[in-house]
Amino acid sequence: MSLNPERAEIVVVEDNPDDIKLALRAFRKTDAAEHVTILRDGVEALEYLFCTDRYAHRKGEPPPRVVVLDLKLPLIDGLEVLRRVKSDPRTKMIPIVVMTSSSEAKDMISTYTLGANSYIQKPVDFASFTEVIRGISSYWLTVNQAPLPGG
Amino acid sequence: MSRVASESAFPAVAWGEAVDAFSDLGFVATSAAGVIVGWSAGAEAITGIAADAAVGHDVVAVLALPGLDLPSVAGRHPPRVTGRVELAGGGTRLIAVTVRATPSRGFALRLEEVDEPRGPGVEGSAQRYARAVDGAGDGVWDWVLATGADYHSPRWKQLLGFAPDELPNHIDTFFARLHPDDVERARAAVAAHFEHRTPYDLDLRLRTKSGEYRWFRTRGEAERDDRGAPVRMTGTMIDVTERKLAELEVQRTNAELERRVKHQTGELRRFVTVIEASTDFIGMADPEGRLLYLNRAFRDALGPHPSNDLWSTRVHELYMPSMSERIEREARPAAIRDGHWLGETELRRFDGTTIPVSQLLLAHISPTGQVEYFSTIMRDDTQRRRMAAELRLRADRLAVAAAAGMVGIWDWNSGDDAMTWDDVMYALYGVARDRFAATYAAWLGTIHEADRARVDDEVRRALREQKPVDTEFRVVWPDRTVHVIRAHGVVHRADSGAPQRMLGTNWDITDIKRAEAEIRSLNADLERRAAEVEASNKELEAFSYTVSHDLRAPLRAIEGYSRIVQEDFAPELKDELQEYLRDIRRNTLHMGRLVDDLLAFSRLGRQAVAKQAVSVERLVEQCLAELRPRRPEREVEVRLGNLPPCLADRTLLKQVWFNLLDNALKYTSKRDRAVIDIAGERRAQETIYSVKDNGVGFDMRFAEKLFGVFQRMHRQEDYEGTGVGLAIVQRMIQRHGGRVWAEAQPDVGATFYFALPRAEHDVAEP
Repeated sequence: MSLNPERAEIVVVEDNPDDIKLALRAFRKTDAAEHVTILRDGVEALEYLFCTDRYAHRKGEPPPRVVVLDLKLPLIDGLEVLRRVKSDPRTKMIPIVVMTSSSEAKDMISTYTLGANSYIQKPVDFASFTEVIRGISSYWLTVNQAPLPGG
Repeated sequence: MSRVASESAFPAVAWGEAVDAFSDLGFVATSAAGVIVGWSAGAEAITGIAADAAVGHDVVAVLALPGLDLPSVAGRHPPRVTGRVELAGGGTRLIAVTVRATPSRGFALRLEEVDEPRGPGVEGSAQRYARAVDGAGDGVWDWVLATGADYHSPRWKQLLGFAPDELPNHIDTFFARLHPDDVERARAAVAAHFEHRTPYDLDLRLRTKSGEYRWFRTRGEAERDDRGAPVRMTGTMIDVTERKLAELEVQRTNAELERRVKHQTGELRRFVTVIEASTDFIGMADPEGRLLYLNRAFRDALGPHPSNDLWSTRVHELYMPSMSERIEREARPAAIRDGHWLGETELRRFDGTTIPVSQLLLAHISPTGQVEYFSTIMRDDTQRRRMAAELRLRADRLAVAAAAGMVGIWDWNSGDDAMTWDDVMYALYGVARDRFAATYAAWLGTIHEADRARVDDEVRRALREQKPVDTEFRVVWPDRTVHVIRAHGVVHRADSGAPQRMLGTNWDITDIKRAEAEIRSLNADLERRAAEVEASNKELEAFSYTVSHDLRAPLRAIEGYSRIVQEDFAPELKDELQEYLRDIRRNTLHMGRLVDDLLAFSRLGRQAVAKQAVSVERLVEQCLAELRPRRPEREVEVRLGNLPPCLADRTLLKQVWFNLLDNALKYTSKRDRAVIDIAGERRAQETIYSVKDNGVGFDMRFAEKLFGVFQRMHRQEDYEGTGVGLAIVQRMIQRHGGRVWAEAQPDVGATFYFALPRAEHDVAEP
């Protein structure tokens, strides 16, 4: 398992501090913990991914390897973030894994329709939660072949 | 040879000689007492009694004729007796004696020979002559051709109504009185007699003294000279007017009869032609049922006779047995009694099919009361009966429709403003017949004030524009109740085009209007409620979303932190604390399941049911395949019975089976060997499925709680669960229009049943 620290970046968009804490703990059990970036709302997520405003300095930097996106977010919700990212040619290549508490079929269908790469319901059971996090990082950072930047 | 009693002079002698000249006529003179005083030669010749034997004797004794009493015979008409006299040489002779009183109170008798009753054979001329002079009714004539003298006897003259001296004795007398039409015939007959000896015997008309013509039969015979040329002709004449008139009448009658027969023969022929051409079946038969006549239509209707022997057919063969029996029992007696019978029967054709006919049966009765023959006229009734049936049906339908629909019919003559209503109309307006003026104005008066002007306008426009009117209005009954009427009418026009009358229908649509209003209000209600339901559904969705998202997050956190504490600080924790942390986590997970189940249950109410044909057998096998791995250590015997397919939402139905089978496995978990029976049964209206286990069962007293949400029959530590599974089962079955129930016994087992309604036709295996 070889990771390029410059490129191996996981972005987690999540506003619930407990979930952040638990997620970070789960990531600590993987090799990717130091490459995890936490964003707290939809607006921040968009600024980060489009390299504007607070994240304008990221211009020219490679996009994250995967974005783990919650649907229930302050300001701009997850579905809207997903729609904008997937409808923009500059960002639509970025893999997005929706991870949410909702088990509503409606949410799942909208998510996939908008182009999400995966949909995962957050398990209540922490052991399972840890497994899910481990799976995400190993799949998207190691197994999955990312497209070339700008390509 | 005659002797005259008086010793008179020559004239007496001459008179005697004259009398004697007629040898075939006997002349006798008597005294008042009947003593014979003169006996002519003719008398001697006829009777064979010599003058010597006669003169001086009583004539009655001499002639010995019965009934010869001189005064009485002379006094009657004709004054004559007939009888037989004995001839001296044997035999008898039939003679006639005519008696007349003389002025000297004596009597004169004339004797004539009378023809014996004749046998067959040719009459000789002598006999004929003798017969010519026979009888005192005959007139005698004697015509001398050379002089034209024609003696006419007094009787001859009397026949014409003349006295003996009133007519000259000349042939011209005869011809003068002869009917002009008979002159030629008479001359021809005389000529034929003279030349060809054709017997002279003909009937002629002679004018009598009174001017009328009477018929006479005249016969005569010519006397001829040595060369055979006629010199004289003598004959008789008799009045035959009565006979002639009778004859003429007979002739006339015969001619008339002949004419009539001819006419009737022609008529009969025409009748037969007409009868043959008739499309009605006309026939005749004798009282024994033998056919006498069938017209063409009848023969055609019967069709070809099976053995080509139409006339061997008997009347009863023309009907089916039951019909024949009815004819025998009902028709024939009636025809004999009344002369005719009319009824509806059926003619049987030779091929066995029947034709419905209306039949007239006539009995022809002789003057003595015997049935001479029967005749019948049948008319093919097929069309008429069908039409009659059709008409009856239509009339019935109309009556039923009008009665059921309470349709009133009205008719208004705009000319005399007379309105005619049927009974239904009066019922529709709630007025009695005698309380309604039946005019246009009276009708308008019944209409609700608010509608009156409009309706009046519509009627007037219909009349003006020749268009039908179709409108609705309210009428106010005498009891002040208001009813809504739907009215329809058409305008009938006279030839001039001026409106003459309108007619149409009315019916009460009050109930319809009320129902319409109710429907409108119900619809509005429904729409409002649907909006409410939609709103509450949205709220519920939002709520569910919140629950699923926000309620789970803290649970995850509690579970997560408990776990972290357990993992990170295990060596520092007392066993008791470890135990409590496990309890916290177990409860947290349980609550997670409750939230999940609650969400699933609430989603069911909102999810559409998409029915399709489902193989229940395959579905059950799938469920079992998914359930078994969860309890790999268990010994479970599953017995699959017949599981007919059904019509259902596959996903929902799978959830039903999954929950029921999961329950069966769960509640048999304490058995060493679980037995689960799965079966299905097709009924007329529904298909019933069952899942039977040998598990812990339950108390039937709590059966009604079984399907409630979060209702549990067992303690959590015995059997884990949220109490939502059966609630979901019930909800799903209800959404399919089915029903669910259970039977159980504690510690023996439970059986769960559910029934799904069947489709119109059976569901095939998908």
